Amino acid sequence: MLSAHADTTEKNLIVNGDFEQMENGVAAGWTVLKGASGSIASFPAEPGKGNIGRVDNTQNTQSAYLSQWVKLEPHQNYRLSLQAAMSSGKLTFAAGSTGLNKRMFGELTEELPMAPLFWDESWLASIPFEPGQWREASMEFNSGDVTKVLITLGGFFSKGSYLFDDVKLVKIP
Amino acid sequence: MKPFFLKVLLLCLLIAPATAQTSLNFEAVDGKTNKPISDGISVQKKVIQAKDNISEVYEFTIKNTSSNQRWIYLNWKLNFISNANIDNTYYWSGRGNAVSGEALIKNPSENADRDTTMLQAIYDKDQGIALALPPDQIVTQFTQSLNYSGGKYFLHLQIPLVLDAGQSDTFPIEIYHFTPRYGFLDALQKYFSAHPADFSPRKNIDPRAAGVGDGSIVRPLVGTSKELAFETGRRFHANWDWVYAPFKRTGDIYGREQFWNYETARPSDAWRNKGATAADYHAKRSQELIDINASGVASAFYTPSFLYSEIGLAKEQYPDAIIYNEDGSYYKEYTTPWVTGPDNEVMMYPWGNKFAQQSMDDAKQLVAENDIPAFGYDVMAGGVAYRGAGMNESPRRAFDEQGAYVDSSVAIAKMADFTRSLTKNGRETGLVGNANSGTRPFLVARSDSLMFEQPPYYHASDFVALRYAAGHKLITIWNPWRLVNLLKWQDMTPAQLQDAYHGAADYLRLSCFRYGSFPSPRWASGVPQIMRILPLLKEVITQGWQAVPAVRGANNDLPDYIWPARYGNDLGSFITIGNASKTPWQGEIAIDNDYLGTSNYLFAEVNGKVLSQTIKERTTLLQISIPAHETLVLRAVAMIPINAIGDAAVAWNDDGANGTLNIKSTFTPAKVLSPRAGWSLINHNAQIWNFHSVYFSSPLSDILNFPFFSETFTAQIILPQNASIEDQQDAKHLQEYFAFWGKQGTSPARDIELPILPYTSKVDTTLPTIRLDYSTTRRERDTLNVGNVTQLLNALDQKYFYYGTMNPGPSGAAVLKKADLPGNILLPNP
Repeated sequence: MLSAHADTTEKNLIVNGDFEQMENGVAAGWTVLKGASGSIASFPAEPGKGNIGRVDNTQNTQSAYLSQWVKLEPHQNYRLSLQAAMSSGKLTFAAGSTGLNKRMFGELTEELPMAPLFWDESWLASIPFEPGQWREASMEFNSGDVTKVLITLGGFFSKGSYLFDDVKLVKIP
Repeated sequence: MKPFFLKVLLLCLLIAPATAQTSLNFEAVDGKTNKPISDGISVQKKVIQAKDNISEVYEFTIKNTSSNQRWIYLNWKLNFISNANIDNTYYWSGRGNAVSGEALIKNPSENADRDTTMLQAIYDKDQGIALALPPDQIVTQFTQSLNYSGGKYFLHLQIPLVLDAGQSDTFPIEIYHFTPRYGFLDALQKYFSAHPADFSPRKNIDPRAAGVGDGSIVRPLVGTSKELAFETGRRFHANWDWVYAPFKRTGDIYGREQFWNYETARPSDAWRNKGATAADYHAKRSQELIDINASGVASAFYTPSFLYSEIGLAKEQYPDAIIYNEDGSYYKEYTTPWVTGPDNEVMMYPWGNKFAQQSMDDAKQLVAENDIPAFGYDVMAGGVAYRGAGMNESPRRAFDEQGAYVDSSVAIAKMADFTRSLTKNGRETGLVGNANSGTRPFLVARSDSLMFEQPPYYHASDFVALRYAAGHKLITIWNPWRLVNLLKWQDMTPAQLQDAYHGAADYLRLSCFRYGSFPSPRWASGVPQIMRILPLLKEVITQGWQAVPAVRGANNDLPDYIWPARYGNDLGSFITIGNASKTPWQGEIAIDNDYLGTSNYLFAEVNGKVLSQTIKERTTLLQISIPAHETLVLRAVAMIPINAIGDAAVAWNDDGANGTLNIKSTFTPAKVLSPRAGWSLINHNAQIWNFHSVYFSSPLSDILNFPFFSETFTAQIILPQNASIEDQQDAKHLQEYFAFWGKQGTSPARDIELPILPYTSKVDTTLPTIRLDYSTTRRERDTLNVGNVTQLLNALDQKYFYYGTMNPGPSGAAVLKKADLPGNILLPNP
């Protein structure tokens, strides 16, 4: 699926961001970080989307995560973008390393009542989702001194199913 | 209620609908084979004549007549007959918003895990039907869903139940018919009406335990600045203190001699961990509880809902009550500070085992020996499956792929029933519940007041779910802000962060009026615009939140950003209408008087402005305007016969001592009230209804201008002859008021001490004098004769207005610092 920022000429630094290449039941290039009992990561086929990355978290505790290490150039700007969907809980995607901790959340619109009447939507740390609806989500960050970063996708201490596809990490001006 | 219909069916479990009753089908399905049960289970069904005919009630008794334990899915299905199309049909699962359209045929459902109200409803534009369990019913798990089959809709309630051989259980099942003028809220309102005891605080407890929490602000002052404790609690209108962890060792809330000395996981600065004996601790705790209660707020003796124990104590004394994971690890083990700080703690199941018995003995002895008006239940939630000792002694076991289990909330409910039953001096013990997202409605039903620990916009749907479960009870909103969790605050400028704080404070104020909630001092401190609303907010919401707001647009729906609510009943009802938009709103609203009571009503604005209105049939139509981010508060002040129609203009005017309600109309009100409490009707002359203040005989301006202190003198307080303890307390509270103001309200801080003199002492006639024990407060030149001291202090707050400095909230210090608010005060935008 094309994203709003797909016109960039920069290379996607994520390997197998669309989860289509599978090896022994796991999407190539991706590692599953196991969480508390009951949380599961999988790569099912979704109608119209091919394979996707999926995390099912059965408890409000540590989730499983899909993860991938990516090399960066220091002091450059990057945009991490992806397609995501959820029906409950709190979705998260992050870029983390020693000296870098950038994270975004996704929550259902009913859990985000402050924008636009009380807060500017651009201030929110969470992206609003309609239940079961796919949407693009993204965040930008500067790599600073960091040359290697762990991209993680999952749920943030929340029971729910979190779906991901078309993950892209590109350098931006 | 009396049974009038009894039907016993053995073996055949598909129950035909009762004649002249709604078609309610029951089916028992085997939990292991998922097939209808054909033997070994009997079902008795009674139809109960419900009180006031609010609902139909069916009582189902299911008995396991076999010689084995049985796992049973109990299924109740209720058909909704309607000709409406899918877009005009709505389903409410017991949580969140109603759905319609295609969502109806996708089996929408909700289970017990998220404080789901145990009522579900389906409706079209003209009619609705709801299926419910009474709110006090304990259940480990349930699913409420809408089934669509053969072109028909069925409300479906499913409860998984484990019954041992010969065991039986009885479930009351309710059906509500409603006209959905306000959607599913009409069903919820009927549910409230059918269960007043579950949706209101008990009457025979210390009434403070049904009030609002103090954000733990009073207790520290009791230990350090006792003279400020009463005044601080009063300033924030607090009623109870969350007496956090008043024990040495988690799991030993009494402090038993035999459990007293042990090795803690971490060192502690607390004196009780440094050689104090259990007896020393009991004595000191007892005095502290007395002092807290004497300072005006009720002690809510904290427990973690009896769910935790220090790990050494748990392993040594109650190993069979520890909750484990499947792999044998502790379900929850805290090796960092949690309940007490120095302890490592594990999660326990407090029912039907030795740990539960000890916990009950502890609670009973604590109440017997101490001044404990209420217990505070922290982490009052469920969601943890337990299969150990006590499970079989617990009601309403369920099953899953791992076998039979009981939910942790069942044990909390049983402990709640026990502590609620403890009495002292003729009063039962209150229950204050901290209801987080995993709570259950039957736990909320057992609470007399509730705490919501987060801002109302953080886990927003949980806040609304709690409101529905709490009925008319008060909810204290505990922790403020949480901007650190919700905003990209590190990328924001100080000016943007200031705007964000203002937005949060505005949302809080509007939400409090919308959902019957009260901000703790953690919210109000440092925010004048919150402090200003507290007296009115308290008066309004203590009338009891109602599910149906009974306010709508006169010609169409209110916009989404207009937030109506209703409190109380009949004459005196409050209607609140919040404007959440960033711009002023004006429009014509209709108040549906039939929801309020049996009359029609005229309304007054509580601020006294003239309010034009028209009564037409059973509605009152009003043209209103509301500033941005403000709430308009109206009160039903005149009772009008339902056959009267016409126009009226209602206005209130007072000087603090005398008030007039001016009703320009052709109506003859059967009864009138003042827009605020504290007024007594004296007489009326044509359109003017005259009131006297119950508390003040002098105009408020005279009282506010009384010379209580100056740079060079202070007024003197003269005790009455034969002063009672209450008189002495009143004098002390008046003295503390100005001591507080000197320390907290003036800059630089100064000592203001009004001397308290006995009646017989020689009075300095050159100084202003305050005399106590009068029927009302009246000023005569430089003498103030005081009636009700608390009312006087509340009135003085208008002049000696205190708001303190902002509490950063959890993890919020860095955000508050970056916002760079002068003095850490959120002054209103100019």
